[in-house]
Amino acid sequence: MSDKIDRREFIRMLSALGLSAAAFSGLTIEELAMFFGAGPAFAGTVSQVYMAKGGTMEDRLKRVLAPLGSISRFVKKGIWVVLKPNIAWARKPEQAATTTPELMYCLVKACYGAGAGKVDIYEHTADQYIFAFRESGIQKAVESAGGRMNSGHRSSLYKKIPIPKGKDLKESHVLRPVLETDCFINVPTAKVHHAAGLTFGLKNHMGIIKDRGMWHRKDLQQCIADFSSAIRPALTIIDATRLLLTNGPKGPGKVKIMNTLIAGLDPVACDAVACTLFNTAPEKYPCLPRAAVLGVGEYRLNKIRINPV
Amino acid sequence: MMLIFRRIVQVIFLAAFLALFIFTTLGPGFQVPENYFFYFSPLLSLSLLLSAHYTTTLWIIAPLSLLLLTLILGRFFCGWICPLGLCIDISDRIFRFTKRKKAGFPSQARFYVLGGLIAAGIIGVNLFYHFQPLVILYRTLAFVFFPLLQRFVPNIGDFPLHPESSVTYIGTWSFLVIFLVILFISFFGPRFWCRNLCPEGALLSLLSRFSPLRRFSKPGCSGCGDCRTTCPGGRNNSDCIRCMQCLAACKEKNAGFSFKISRRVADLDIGRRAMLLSGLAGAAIAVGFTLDPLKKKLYPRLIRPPAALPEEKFVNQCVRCGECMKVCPTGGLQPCFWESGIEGMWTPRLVPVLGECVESCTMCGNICPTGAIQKIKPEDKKYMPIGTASINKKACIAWAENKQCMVCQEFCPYLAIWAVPRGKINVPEVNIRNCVGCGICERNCPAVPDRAIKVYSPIGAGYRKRLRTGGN
Repeated sequence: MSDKIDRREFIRMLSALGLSAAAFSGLTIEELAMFFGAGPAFAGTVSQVYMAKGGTMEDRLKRVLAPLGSISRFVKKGIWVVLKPNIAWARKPEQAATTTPELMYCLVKACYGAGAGKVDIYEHTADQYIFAFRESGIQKAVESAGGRMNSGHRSSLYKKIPIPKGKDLKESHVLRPVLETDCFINVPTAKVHHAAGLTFGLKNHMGIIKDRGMWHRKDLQQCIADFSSAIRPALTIIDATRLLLTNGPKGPGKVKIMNTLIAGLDPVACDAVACTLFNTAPEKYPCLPRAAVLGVGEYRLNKIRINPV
Repeated sequence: MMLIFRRIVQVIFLAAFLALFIFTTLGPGFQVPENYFFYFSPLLSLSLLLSAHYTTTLWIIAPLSLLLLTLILGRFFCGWICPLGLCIDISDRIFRFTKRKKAGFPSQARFYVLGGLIAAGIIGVNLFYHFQPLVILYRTLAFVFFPLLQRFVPNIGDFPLHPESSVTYIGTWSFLVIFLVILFISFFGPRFWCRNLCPEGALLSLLSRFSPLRRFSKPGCSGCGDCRTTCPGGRNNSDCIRCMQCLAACKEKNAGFSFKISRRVADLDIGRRAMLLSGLAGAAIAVGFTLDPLKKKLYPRLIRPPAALPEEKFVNQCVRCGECMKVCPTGGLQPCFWESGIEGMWTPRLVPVLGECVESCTMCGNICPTGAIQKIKPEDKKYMPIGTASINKKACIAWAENKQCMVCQEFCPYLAIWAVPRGKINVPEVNIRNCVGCGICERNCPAVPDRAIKVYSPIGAGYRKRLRTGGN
């Protein structure tokens, strides 16, 4: 190749540069739209969801967050981070009913690595929290990484918020730290669920509210959708390291090892992609279309771009 | 001087009792200390021997060591160690400022109480727990003061006093009333309870009268009677609680204690006829209790803790210390009142609405000092059903209202609820083979106002019929 660059070469280089910049800067159209305040459900855009398979947990987490701008995009220096894993049940990690402890360890480490001032884990467990925290192995993992475990069993921790877009749910008591934190990250696990069908990110919100029974007395799916219009995590990371295929959500049931992480900014799109792991169409999981109607995100797979990383 | 020393010792023992009480909860290390005070009670050991025919090495050695010390030092336990004694001392202090009535009560009454309890125990009815000072204090602390304390001081540092944010106990008032009565009868004289009623003290008195640690007055005594008016026990060697208050009260410095072996043994002054009568009264009460109509038809929801002994044996072997209910991490274990008859008063039962029996928890059995609740491994719990859940299909959200619910199935750790597809939704159905009756479904059932799924006890009335008809 000569030293001089001809026009064709120049254009080729320029387009390659542009493409790679678009790919690595993580600035998708959707994010640009969000940046300009157009809201997440920007008409005509494509929701980006990233999916990482295989490798060690640390590597997988790094890969899945890299195109989103790595963890430092969400966790700024000195801020307070609240993570919401699924520790509803006093089940062992192998039983796949709770978020994998290694993921929590890596995530807390990553948050501190990005300069977080404080990393808190909040969960309103369904089982007695001491047993749930211990059995799931998350307490040990989080505390060895320097994070703090907090249970939401005290009613003084909750604050009532209005849900203006809600159809069935007009207001709800939400964990105060989730409302006050600088960065709220939802880390659900992927399971089947006899009541809701499946459970991912939106359903995981039931661990930050006070009265779950009320949602069942009303319409569960509509309440899940309504609530997601009021609380939006900065980031959703769905843990599909192990899938619970039967007897969900508590198990014990059939477990399938997938070693997958799904991450994205759009909570509905993340859930819709997770549905495909169970060979279910997102349309069959009623809270997703209903959340989409409220403008929370995109559930149609043809409008979602799944990026394997 | 001696008085201050005694107060320090008393406070140390009360503090130890309180510390053991506070730490009888689910700590970070899952290690729960036992309350060793109970083992040193000869009365509790006697109650286990008589009414439950049960004893262990610890239940023999510990009370014997206290009895041996009593043989040497007299009733020092009452004056120096008993934590309830210190509480009564404090109330004495308050009543000292009021004008006291003269007590015409016979101090031998405590022997008659003991006689009645022993007679009932021989027949096979355990009544000792109504009068044993340590368990009275523990119950009061657990059911009255702990819920209050927790409201104001939820945790010590990072360590929560109780895993639940606010525990409550059914019938708290009754325990408070009993405790206040014991304190307020001091109005009729110092240490009224200890001197006149406490059967534990009576048991120690029987040996205390042989003790060589005796009170004496020096020859210069003018007989002013100052020591007599302040004496909380009695000047008799069997009544004396070795509190040494007479040393401080004597202005002439003529009172003293010394070790002196003497042939003269204090007279107990127990009336033979009164003793016989009290024994008969105890026996009559015991027979009456066995005829109790409530016992024949036990409350359908009388759910005993896992690995509790069979009902008949359980009510006799349980000393009602309340430790199991204090330690229960969900606060589901509650004291009975009439649910298992008069005989089973204050025994523990699970109230699932207040708290479930956690799948991997065996705290109540580990803490039980008498083995009325057996020590088991958590993995064995699924083979020891304590009840069976039953669905009221008229109240169930899924059955009656066609809504997605299945919360009971979600929570059930034993796969004892089937999800049966019905139309667009699933409805729950109990698999009685897997159900152990832990009650987690009942606690979390969202149906209002009454839970649609409830746990019924296999020893309760109408259980078999309920199983046959599916609870409807």
